[in-house]
Amino acid sequence: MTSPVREPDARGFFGTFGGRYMPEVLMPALEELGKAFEEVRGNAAFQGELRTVMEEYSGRPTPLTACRRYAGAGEDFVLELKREDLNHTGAHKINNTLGQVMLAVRMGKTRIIAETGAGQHGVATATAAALFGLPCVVYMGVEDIRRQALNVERMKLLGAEVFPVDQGAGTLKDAVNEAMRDWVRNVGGTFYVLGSAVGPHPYPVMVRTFQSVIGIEAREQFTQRHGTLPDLLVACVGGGSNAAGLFHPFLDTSVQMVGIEAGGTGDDPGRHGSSLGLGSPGIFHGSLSYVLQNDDGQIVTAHSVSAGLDYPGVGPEHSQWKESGSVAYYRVSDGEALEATRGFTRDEGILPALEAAHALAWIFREREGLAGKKVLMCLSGRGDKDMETLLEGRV
Amino acid sequence: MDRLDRTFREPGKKLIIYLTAGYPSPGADEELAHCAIEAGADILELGFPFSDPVADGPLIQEASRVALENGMSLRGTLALAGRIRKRKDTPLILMGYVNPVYRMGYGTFSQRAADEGVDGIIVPDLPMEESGPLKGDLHRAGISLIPMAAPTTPPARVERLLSSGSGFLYLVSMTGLTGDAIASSADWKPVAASARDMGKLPVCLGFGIRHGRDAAEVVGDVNGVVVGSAVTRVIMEAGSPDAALRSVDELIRELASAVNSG
Repeated sequence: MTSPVREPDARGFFGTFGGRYMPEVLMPALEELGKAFEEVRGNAAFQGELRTVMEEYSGRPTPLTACRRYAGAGEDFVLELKREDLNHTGAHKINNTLGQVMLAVRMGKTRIIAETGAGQHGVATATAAALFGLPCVVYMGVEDIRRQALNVERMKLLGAEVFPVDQGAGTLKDAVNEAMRDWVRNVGGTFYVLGSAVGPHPYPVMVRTFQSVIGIEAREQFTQRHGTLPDLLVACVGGGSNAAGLFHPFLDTSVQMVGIEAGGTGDDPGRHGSSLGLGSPGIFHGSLSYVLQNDDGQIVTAHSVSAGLDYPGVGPEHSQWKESGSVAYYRVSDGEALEATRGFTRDEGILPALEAAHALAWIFREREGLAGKKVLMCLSGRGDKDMETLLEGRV
Repeated sequence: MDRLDRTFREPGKKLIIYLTAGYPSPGADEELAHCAIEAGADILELGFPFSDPVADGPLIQEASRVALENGMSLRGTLALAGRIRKRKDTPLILMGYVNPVYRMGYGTFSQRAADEGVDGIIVPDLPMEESGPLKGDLHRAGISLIPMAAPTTPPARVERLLSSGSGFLYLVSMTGLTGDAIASSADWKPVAASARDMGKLPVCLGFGIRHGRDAAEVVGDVNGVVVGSAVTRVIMEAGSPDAALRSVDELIRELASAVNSG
C-alpha cells in the first residue's frame, strides 16, 4: 500500500487518474470554474455562508445513529450510521448542489443544468436552483423517467424543466452526455451542476470537497461518542461522491475503508455497475478512470437495481485509492441489496435508499468478521423513492 | 503527414468530407468514400464510432450508433482506411473520441495507422493539455495530430494550439455540436483571423456548413471547409445505396464548386 495523493495536481490528476478530456469549446469554461472553485475553497465568507445554508436550510449537522439489531450490531460490533438520509431532499446530494449553485451565483451564471439518474441529484439541483432563484434544466433518460415518475413531478414542482433523453439506453450515462451537449451549446451563461465526483477537472475534487462535510462531521461525532476513531468505514460507490466525502477526511488515519459497488445480477458485461471491480482504465465523461468498456473502448451499459449506482464509470480519486490500496472495493448483488433493505428497515426502523443498502448488505455478509469492531457507515439516502422497486421485487 | 502538407501547398481552397466508418453499412462506407473523393473531396475524414459522442449532434450520433450496431470499431476503421489508401492518394484523416485509441494503446494505434496510410487524426475530447503522450507516438509514426479551436478559444491559446499541432487547425464555427446551424460569422472570424496572422498552420472551418451557399460564404476567410453532418443527412435520407451515392455525389460537387470558386 502506497500513500494516496491527497489533492489533484494542476491538471486535475490524482496520480495517473483524472484530467480534463473535454471538447475545446469547454476548456476555457473549465479553467474559469477551476479558478472560481479554488477561490471559494479558502474564502471564509463563502464557506460561512455555505455553512449557514447547510444548517438552516438542509438541517446539518446530520446525526450519527447507532444500530441496535441489524446483522448483530449493538451486541457483536458497533455500527454507527452517518444519517445523510436526514438531509433536506433525503440524500447527501444536496451538500454538493448547494455548494455548486452558490458558486454559480458568485460566478454570475444565470442558468443551471444537471443530469440525473434516479432523480435524487435532479431534485437536489432543482431545489438549490429554486432557493437561489435560477432557472434549471434537468436531463433525464426516458427509462429513468418511467422508473421515477414521482421525482420527475417533484422537479417540475420546484420549477425545473425536465428534458427527456432517448439516446442509448435512456439512463444516467445518456443524461450526462446530453447535459454536456447543452453545456457546449450554452457555455457562456450556464453552470453545469454535475452530481458525482466524476467528470473533467475540477468536478471530481469540487464534488468531493463539498461532500467532505460528511466525513468531517462524522469523524468528530464518532470520536466524541466513542473516544476513538472507527476501525472501518463503509460506503456505497456509484460515481463515488458520498464515499469520497466520508473517506477523504480520514486519509490521514489508519482507519480501514471499504467501498461497495453494484454487483447487479452477475459479473458479465451489462449485468452490473462495478467499474472498479470488473472494469479497466479508460477515458469517459472527461476523466481517465476505471470504466466498463469492451475491447474496442466502447462504453458498456451498466446495470443495478439502484438507479444511483447504474453508471459505467467512477470518480478518478477512487481509481487512485484502488491502485494505492487505500480503499478496498467489493460488490454486492441486486438480491443482497433488496434483502438488506427489508431486513434493515424492520430491524432499525429506517428505510434506506437502495444505494446505501449495498453497503448494509456487505456489512451483513461480513458480520462475523466484524465482531468487536467499530464500524462507521454512510447512510447516503432514504428509500422512499425506491418503494415501487421494492413492491415489484416482492413477488 | 506529407500528403496533408502537399495538399495545402497546392493552390486553392480545400474541401474536407467526413464519413462515419460502418455507416450506413460496411461496404457501402467504402463506396461512399471513393464517391466523395471522385466528386471533389480534397481530404477524406473517416469517423470511428464511439458509444458516447458528446460533441456530436443527432445526425452523427445516429450514424455512430448504426455503425456500432454494424460491428464497426477502431480496428475496422483502420482497415477501411487501408483499403481506400490502396486505390487513392487523397489525404486520409481519422476522427473520433479518445477512448478507443487509448484502449488500443497510443503506440499500437499510431503504428497501425501509419501502416494503413493514415495521415492525421482529430480527437475532439483530447485537448492540448492531455495530448502529449498520443502526440509523441503519432509524431514517431509520421502522423499529424490536428488541433481544434473554438470561438471560445482565447488568442494566446490559439497560438499554443498552432505550435503544438500539425496538419491544419480545425476551427469549430460555433459553441455548438456537429450539425447545428452557424449563428453568426462574428463567432469564428476573429479566431480565424488571429490564426491566419500567426501563420503556422492552414485553417479549416467545420460545423454547420450544409450547402454550397454556406461554403461559399465562409471559404474566403479560411483555407478550407469541413462538411460532415450534411453528408450524413443525405445518406440517411436516401432510399437506397445507389440513391445515397447519387445524393453524396451531387452534394459534394456543389460544395467543391463553391469551395473552388472561393
